[in-house]
Amino acid sequence: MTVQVSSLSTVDSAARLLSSDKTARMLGGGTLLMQRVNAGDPGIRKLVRVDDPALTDISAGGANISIGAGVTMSQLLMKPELEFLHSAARCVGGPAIRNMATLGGNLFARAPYGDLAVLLVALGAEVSLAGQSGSRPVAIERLFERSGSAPPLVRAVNIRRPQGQVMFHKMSRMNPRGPAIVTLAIHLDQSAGRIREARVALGGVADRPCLSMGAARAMGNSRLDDATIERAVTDAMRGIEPRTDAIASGWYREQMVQVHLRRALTQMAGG
Amino acid sequence: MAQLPLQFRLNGSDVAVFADEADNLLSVLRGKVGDLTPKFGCGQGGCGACMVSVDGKTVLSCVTLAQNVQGRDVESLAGLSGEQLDPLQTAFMDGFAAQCGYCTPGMIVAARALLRRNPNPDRDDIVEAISDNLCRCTGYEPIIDAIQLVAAQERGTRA
Ligand SMILES: Cc1cc2nc3c(=O)[nH]c(=O)nc-3n(C[C@H](O)[C@H](O)[C@H](O)COP(=O)(O)OP(=O)(O)OC[C@H]3O[C@@H](n4cnc5c(N)ncnc54)[C@H](O)[C@@H]3O)c2cc1C
Repeated sequence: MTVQVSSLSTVDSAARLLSSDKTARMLGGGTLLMQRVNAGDPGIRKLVRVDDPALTDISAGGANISIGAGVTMSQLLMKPELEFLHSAARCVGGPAIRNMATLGGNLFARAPYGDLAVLLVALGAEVSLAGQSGSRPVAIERLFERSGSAPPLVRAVNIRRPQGQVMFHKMSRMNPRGPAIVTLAIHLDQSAGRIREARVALGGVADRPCLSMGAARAMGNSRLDDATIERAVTDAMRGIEPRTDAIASGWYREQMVQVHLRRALTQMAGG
Repeated sequence: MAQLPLQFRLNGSDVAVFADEADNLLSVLRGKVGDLTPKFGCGQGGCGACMVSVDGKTVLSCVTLAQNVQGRDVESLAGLSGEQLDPLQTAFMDGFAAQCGYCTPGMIVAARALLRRNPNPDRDDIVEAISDNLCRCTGYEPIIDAIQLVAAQERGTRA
């Protein structure tokens, strides 16, 4: 079956096309999508290529950062202003994958991939959608709730420059690169010795990156001491059913979340 | 369905072919242009045997939409050696870094890209640079040694 390619010059025209044709897919770097095309996936009849500068714009000078969805991992790594994203961008594949893999594609990558998306969820990042002028940006984790409906076209990711501590850790069987057993990202905002906001995001455990509500609740408005850390570790997987696949069992993933969360929080507490 | 005219530079020479709209770059290079140095390994971007450079950046050609290289510069292993072999090819032969040889074109493209951006890599840099490439024969050590040797030779040459 032949697959057509539509080359468009604006994200809005691409968004219109994608919403009217369920077999059309937006092409980022193609590292995941072209695998499906090569395999003759009957669900894909059209690829949409977009040559719109909005997709490759980076505005990272101030507190409010916007990164076009077509920016690659290698391009992110060349921006010192985006240093807080580098640990996650660097662990996406090897150098050639990073030259191709886009931010937009990473948001839609299913487990065990989507490492950068995990960090973005922890940072409370939002996405601007194309073809929906006037609509408010959407929290990244809300994107993942839309299963069934056609995925919206992401124009850019908006992030507030993080205040406080940020930690990212990927655990994989293969080093220096490999699919995640568990990916963990933490953003802690503390004031006067108390945690104002804690966001703990997990990758690998569910099909898409998710927030650990249990860990966040356990840490809210507390001091980051041993007792708080133990509460966060105990509650981290509450309500989350870890997946079992060829890389790891659900049981092992749960253990790894707890081990690495305890280590990370202890380190963040200065211990 | 109508075929798409595609023009780009391959290893410094102009190339013009007709391709299907959703062809990947590897199938165009091997099937339409006749450059057999990039290999078909997995078709999933996972093994690195198909690696080439586009405008100086390494990519996995099996998951690159061929249309994306319209008007651009592509370099494959065939472009690295002229009258003489690339020193990496010689070092791979001398150091038994190629056994079945299937990964070798991708390994050498990755290694040359590394040495161009970093003439003085340490072992970790080399491991990282070839982390897109799988080798199922050598255990990687002779490959890493060969790249290190060429890096040292080329620094010596330049000094
Ligand atoms: C060998 C290998 C190793 C990998 N290692 C890792 C890894 O370590 N960590 C990791 O996170 N990932 C990894 N990946 C997966 C993948 O490379 C990355 O997740 C990458 O960021 C996907 O981006 P892409 O641009 O290639 O997406 P594409 O393949 O182009 O697209 C993926 C999906 O996203 C959709 N999409 C793309 N852009 C947009 C947009 N702007 N708006 C809406 N939808 C969009 C596409 O329609 C498609 O459904 C690996 C892949 C391979 C082949």
